[in-house]
Amino acid sequence: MSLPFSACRPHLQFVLDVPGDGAAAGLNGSSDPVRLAGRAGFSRLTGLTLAAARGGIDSIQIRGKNLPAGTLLEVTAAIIEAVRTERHQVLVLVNGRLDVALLAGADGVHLPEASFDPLRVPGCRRLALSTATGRPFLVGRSIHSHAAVTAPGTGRLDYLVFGHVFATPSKPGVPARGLAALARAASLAPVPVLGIGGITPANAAEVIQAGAAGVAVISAIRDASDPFEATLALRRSVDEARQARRERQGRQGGSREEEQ
Amino acid sequence: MERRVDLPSALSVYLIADAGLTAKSGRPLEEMVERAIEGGVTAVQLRAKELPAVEQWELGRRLRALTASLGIPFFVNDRIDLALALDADGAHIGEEDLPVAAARRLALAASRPEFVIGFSTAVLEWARQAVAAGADYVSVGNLFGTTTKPDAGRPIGLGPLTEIAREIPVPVIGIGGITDWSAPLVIEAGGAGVAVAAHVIESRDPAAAARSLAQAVERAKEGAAAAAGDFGNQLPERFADATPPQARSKRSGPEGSAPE
Repeated sequence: MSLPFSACRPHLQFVLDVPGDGAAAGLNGSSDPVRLAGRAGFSRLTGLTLAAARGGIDSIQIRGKNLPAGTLLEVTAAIIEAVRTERHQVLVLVNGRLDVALLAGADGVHLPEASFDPLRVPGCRRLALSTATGRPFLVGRSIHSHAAVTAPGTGRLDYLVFGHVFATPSKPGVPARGLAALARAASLAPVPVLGIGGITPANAAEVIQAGAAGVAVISAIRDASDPFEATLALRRSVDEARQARRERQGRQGGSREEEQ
Repeated sequence: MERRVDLPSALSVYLIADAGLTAKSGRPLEEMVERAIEGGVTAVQLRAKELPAVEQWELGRRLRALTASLGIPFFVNDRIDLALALDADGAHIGEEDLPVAAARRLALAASRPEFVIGFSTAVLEWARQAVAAGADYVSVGNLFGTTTKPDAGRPIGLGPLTEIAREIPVPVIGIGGITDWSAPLVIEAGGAGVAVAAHVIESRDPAAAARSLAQAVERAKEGAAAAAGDFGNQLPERFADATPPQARSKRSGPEGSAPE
């Protein structure tokens, strides 16, 4: 497994949804030709990001579904700047828009399930190395089925996000997949699998116990009255769960599958 | 060998293949596009923002294959990553999309120095800045009222296009509700061509609609050349020259404040 998905530490990803209505989020992007003023509107987003970073997330996935690409680029740049200014070791990934991810100097791209293969973009990974930090450009993907887990090309990705595990207000009316499905996905997948969907400090441990390499959360951090504390609680839950799992396996004398 | 798009002539009858359009007729978009090319369309742009990325990719592949087989340039709206992945001849971006300079940077990094970048604006200053940042043509609209694009804004008539065509050194096209009677007005105002969507794609006979539009544009161009006497001399030097511009302005503007 590559470094960002270390066997020692479960991966905690914060999915930051950036609303499409710029006015509601305080973003001033669409009609201002200079757009410098837009930066002030990003403070809510960067504040949330920094709270999560201080609380111990490993990565942030910026999702701007209804955002014009220009605004998404600026939001991503602002978040990268905030994270790096405080020297957090947090990976910044952009959902979907590989062009934005490359131009902003992000650490990678996270693909929705219905995406095209980014390796078709000529020199995709080469481009990333030349634009940013020199570290490998990460590619993650969301999946919702076991067929997708074992599809050709999955082995080329850096991680998968499987969901949704628990019922979540983000997806009303769609039944949750459950822990058993997550466990199966984690065992079938050639790369690390994070669980997503209704994950909170109270149930995050079960996701790790089911074999996931980590968790991805949206509302557990964003809607918390104290996002920093919520992140700390998530961090504690998954770390303790991983520790318990290792001890259990150590007692069983089983294969040291986690120490690769 | 690098592909060259003969820009001024390619822009004469520019078809916007908008994925939302054929919902009415139920016929596949590619079929309508093929007929339109037979009738005289000179360039095709894929515009499918509302589709999932994988469907944009599939549709784009079919249109790229079709246009390539018929020798017609193919452009993609907004998504530079998709445009590069599809091996399109270029991309078309708007005021809210990625900055022109950023798009140009990505194309160069993907070893596509001849990649065409078009920019949409009705504001002279932004057209100037886009050209300085590397735009190869500018599209001005909404001229007369469009049914295709809900957020196109109120019609602006020919004034802005006339001014922009006069002031900037790259070809300018008009878009928005153009038909056979108004196409010649766009040419007489200094336009190099007209962009159309519903007028051709939702026609009962796309080939006939394209043909009469192409003839109207041709007649108007001959008339304008005869009247001006030096139409050919208005073509900027760089379209005869294979070398892409190297030095790009770093000013902000429609470029926003995205990092270089």
